[in-house]
Amino acid sequence: MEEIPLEHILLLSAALFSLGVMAVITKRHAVVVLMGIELIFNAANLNLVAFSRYDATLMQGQLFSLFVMVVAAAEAAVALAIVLRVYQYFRTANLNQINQLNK
Amino acid sequence: MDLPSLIAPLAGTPQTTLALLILLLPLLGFAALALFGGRLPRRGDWLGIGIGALAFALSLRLFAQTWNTATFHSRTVWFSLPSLGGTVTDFTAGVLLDNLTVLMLVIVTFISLLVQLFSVGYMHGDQGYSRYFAYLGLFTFSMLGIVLVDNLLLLFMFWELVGFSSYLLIGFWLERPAAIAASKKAFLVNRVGDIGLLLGLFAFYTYFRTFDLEALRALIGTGEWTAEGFALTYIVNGQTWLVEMPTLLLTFAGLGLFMGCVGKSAQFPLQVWLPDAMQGPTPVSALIHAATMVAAGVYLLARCYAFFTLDALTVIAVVGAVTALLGAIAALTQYDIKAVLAFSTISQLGYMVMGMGTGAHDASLFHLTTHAFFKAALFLNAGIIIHAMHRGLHHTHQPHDVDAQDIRNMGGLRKVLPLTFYTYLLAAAALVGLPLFSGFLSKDAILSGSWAWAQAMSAGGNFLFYIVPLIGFLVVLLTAFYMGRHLWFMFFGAFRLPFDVRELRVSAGQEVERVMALPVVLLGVLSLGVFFSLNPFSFSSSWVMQGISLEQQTTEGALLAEKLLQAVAAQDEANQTAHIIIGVLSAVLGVAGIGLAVAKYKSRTPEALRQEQPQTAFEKLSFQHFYLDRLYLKIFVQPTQLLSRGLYRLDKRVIDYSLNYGSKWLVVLAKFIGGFDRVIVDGAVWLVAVLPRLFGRVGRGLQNGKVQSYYAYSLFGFILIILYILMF
Repeated sequence: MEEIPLEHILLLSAALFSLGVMAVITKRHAVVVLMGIELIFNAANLNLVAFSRYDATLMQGQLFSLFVMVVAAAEAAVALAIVLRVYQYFRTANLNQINQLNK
Repeated sequence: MDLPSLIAPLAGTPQTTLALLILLLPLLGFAALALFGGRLPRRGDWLGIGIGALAFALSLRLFAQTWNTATFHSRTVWFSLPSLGGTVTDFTAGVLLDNLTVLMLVIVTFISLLVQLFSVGYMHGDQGYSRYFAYLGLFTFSMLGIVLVDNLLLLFMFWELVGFSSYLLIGFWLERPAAIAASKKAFLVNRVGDIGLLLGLFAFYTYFRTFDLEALRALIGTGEWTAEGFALTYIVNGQTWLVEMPTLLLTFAGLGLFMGCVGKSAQFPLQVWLPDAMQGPTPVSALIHAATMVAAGVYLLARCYAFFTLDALTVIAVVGAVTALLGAIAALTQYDIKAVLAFSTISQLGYMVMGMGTGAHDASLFHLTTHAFFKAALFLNAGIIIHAMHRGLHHTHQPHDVDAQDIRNMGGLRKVLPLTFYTYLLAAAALVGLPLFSGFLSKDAILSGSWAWAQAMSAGGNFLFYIVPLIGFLVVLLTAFYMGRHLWFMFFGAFRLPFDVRELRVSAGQEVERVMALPVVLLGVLSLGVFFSLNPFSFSSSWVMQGISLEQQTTEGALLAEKLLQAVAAQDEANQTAHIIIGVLSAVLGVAGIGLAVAKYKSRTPEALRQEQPQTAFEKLSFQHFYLDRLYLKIFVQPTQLLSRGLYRLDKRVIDYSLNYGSKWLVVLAKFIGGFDRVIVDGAVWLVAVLPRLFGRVGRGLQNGKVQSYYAYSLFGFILIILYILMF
C-alpha cells in the first residue's frame, strides 16, 4: 500500500482546524461551538497521528492522541453541563445574548 | 530791626472786636438768607436791611472812637510755616483801624444800607428776591474785609471774594445771556489784574518776609536809598539779613499791586468790564460798580502808598489820566442811561488814580468819598427812572423792543418826576464839579495836586508832565458836556414815546415808592459840599482831607517816593494864586461844558433826538468805546478760542484718533491671543482628556462580554506570536 504523503494529511488537518475555528467563532448556539471545538481537537489529533510515523518504535503520537480523546470526552461532559446550566440560567443557549462576561 | 517783634501778636481791644463784629454781621445775614431766605416773612429783606442798619450804627460808633483820635491794631498768629534753618515763619491776621479804615467802613455800610433799602422797591416781586439780599450781604462782608484787614494776604483773599460776589451780582438775572456773558467777562478781566496783584505780593514778601501792612511800612522806614537801589537790614531769629532791592524791581512790584487796582477799579486797559457790568440790577451798579467795589483799587493804592517808587507813581498817574480821558470821551455819545454813568465812573476812577499817582493821596481819597455818594445817588436815580419807564411801557402795552434804558426814548421827565429830577440835578452838579457841591472840592483838590506834581516833576525841564493836569482839565469840560447832554435828553424837552408821560408815576399823587425815594434824597443832599468842608470853596479846610492826609498815615513809616511827595507838597504850599485860578478854571469849564451841551441839543426837535445816531468818525469811536472790546476780541479772545479750538481738534483728531485706533488694534490682538488660548491651550487640555476616552471607548468595544470575541482575540494574538516566531 502506498503511503499517504504527509502534506496531504497536514492540509486536511489545517482544513479541519479552520472549519473548527470558523464554527467556534461564527455559530450562535453553544452546542455547535462545542462541536467546533471537537473539530479542532480532531485536527490536532490527526497531526499527532501523522507525525508519529517518524516515531515507529514508541508511537508516542498515537498514544498522545488517545489521551487527547479521553480528556476531550471529559471536557465535553463538563462543557455540556456548563451549557446546560447556562441555558437554565439565561433561558437561551444563543451566545450573542449571553454577554455577562464584561460585567 | 527785629522782624518777629514787628509782627508780634497784639491784644484785642473793644474797638477791634467791634470791627470784627461789623465784619461778620453781613456774613451772618448772607448765611441766614441763603439758607432760609425763601421761608422768612417778606422773604427776608428786613433781615438784610436790619443787619445793614446795625452794621452802619456800629460803624458810626467806631468812627467816633477812631477818627483823628487813635489807631487800633489787633493781631494774632494765623498760621506758621517752616522756614530756613529749621525755624518757623509766622503769618499773622488782624484788624487795623485807622482814619482810612473807618472812613471806608462808614461809606460801605452806609451806601450798602441805602441800596438795600432802595432794592426793596426796585426788586419788588423779583423771583430771586431773597437770593439778591443774600448776595448783597456776601458782598458787604467781602468789601468790609478788604477795608479792615491788616495784611496783604488776607486783603487778597477778600479781594477775590469781592470779585466773586460782583460776579454773582452782575449775573444775577441768570436767564439773560447778556448778563451771564457780562459776569464772566468781569470775572476774567479782573483775574488779569489779580495776577499782577499776586505777583506784587510775592515780590514784597520775598524781600520783606511779611505781609503785614504796618510792619512793611515800618521796614521801609528803616531802609535807605543807595546807588543800586533800596537797602534794608532786619533780624530774623538772631540772624541779620541785609536786603538790597534794585529800584526797577521795586517799581515792578509796586506796579504789580497797581495791576490789581487796574482790574478792580476799571483802569485802562482793563476798563472794558465795567460798562458790561451794568447788566446787573441797577442798585447793584450803584453799590458795587460805582460807589464801593470799584473804589477798592483806589483804597488799595492808598493802603500801599508807601510801597510805590517814583517811577511806579508816574505810571499810575499816566494810566489814571488816560483812563479819565477815555472814559469821559466814551460817555459823550452813549444812549443807555446806565452806560453814560458807567463810563463816567471809569472816568472818575481815572481821576482818583491820577490823584494817587500825582501824590494827591488825600485828594484822591476825598474824591473817592464824595464820588461814592453822588454816583450812588445818580445810579439809584437812574434806577427810579428805569423802573418808571418799565411801568409806563407795561401799563400802555408798548412793543417789547422799546428800550426802557435808552435816553432817546425819554424827555420831559422833569415835570412828572420832580423829586428825581432835583436829586439827579444835585448829584450831577457834584459830578460836574460846580462850586458849592462836593465834587467841586475833591476834583479841585486833585487838579491842584496834579498841577503841583507837574511843576515838581518838570523842574528838570521836561514839560511833558503838564499833559497830566491838562487832561484833568479837559475831562472837567467833557464831564460837564456829557452830563449836560444826559440831563437834557432825560429831563427837558418833550416826552418822546407815544404815550402820556404821567403813566410813569406810581399814582397821580405819588411819584415814586417812598422806600426808593428816601435813599436817593439822602444821597442827593450829601452831594452838597457843606457836609465835607465848612468852607465850600476850599478843599483844604475839609475834615476828610485833614483826616486822611499823608502825615496821618505815615506816623511810624516812610514812603519809597518820599522825596517827590515832599517836593509836591512844598510846591502845593507855594501855589497860592494857582489854587484860586484852578478852582475858578474848573468851575468855568464845568459851566462851559453844560452850556455847550445845551447849545448843541436845545434846537433839536424831539423827533431828531429820538432818532439820533453817532454820525462822525469821532462819535462812532466814542460810542463804540474806541473799539476796545472788538480789539480785545481780536487780540486776546479770538486767538485764545482759536488755540483752544485747535487743541480741541488736535485732541479729537490725533489723540482720540490714535487712542481709538490703538484700542481697536488691541482688540484685534486680544482676539488673536484669545483664539490661541482657545485653540492651542484649551485644545491641549481637551486632547489630554479626549484621547484616553477614545482609547477607553475602543477598549470597551472590545470587551463586549461575548465569549466568541474573546476567543477570536486570543486566536489573533496567537497568530501574531506565530508570525513573530516565523519571521524572526
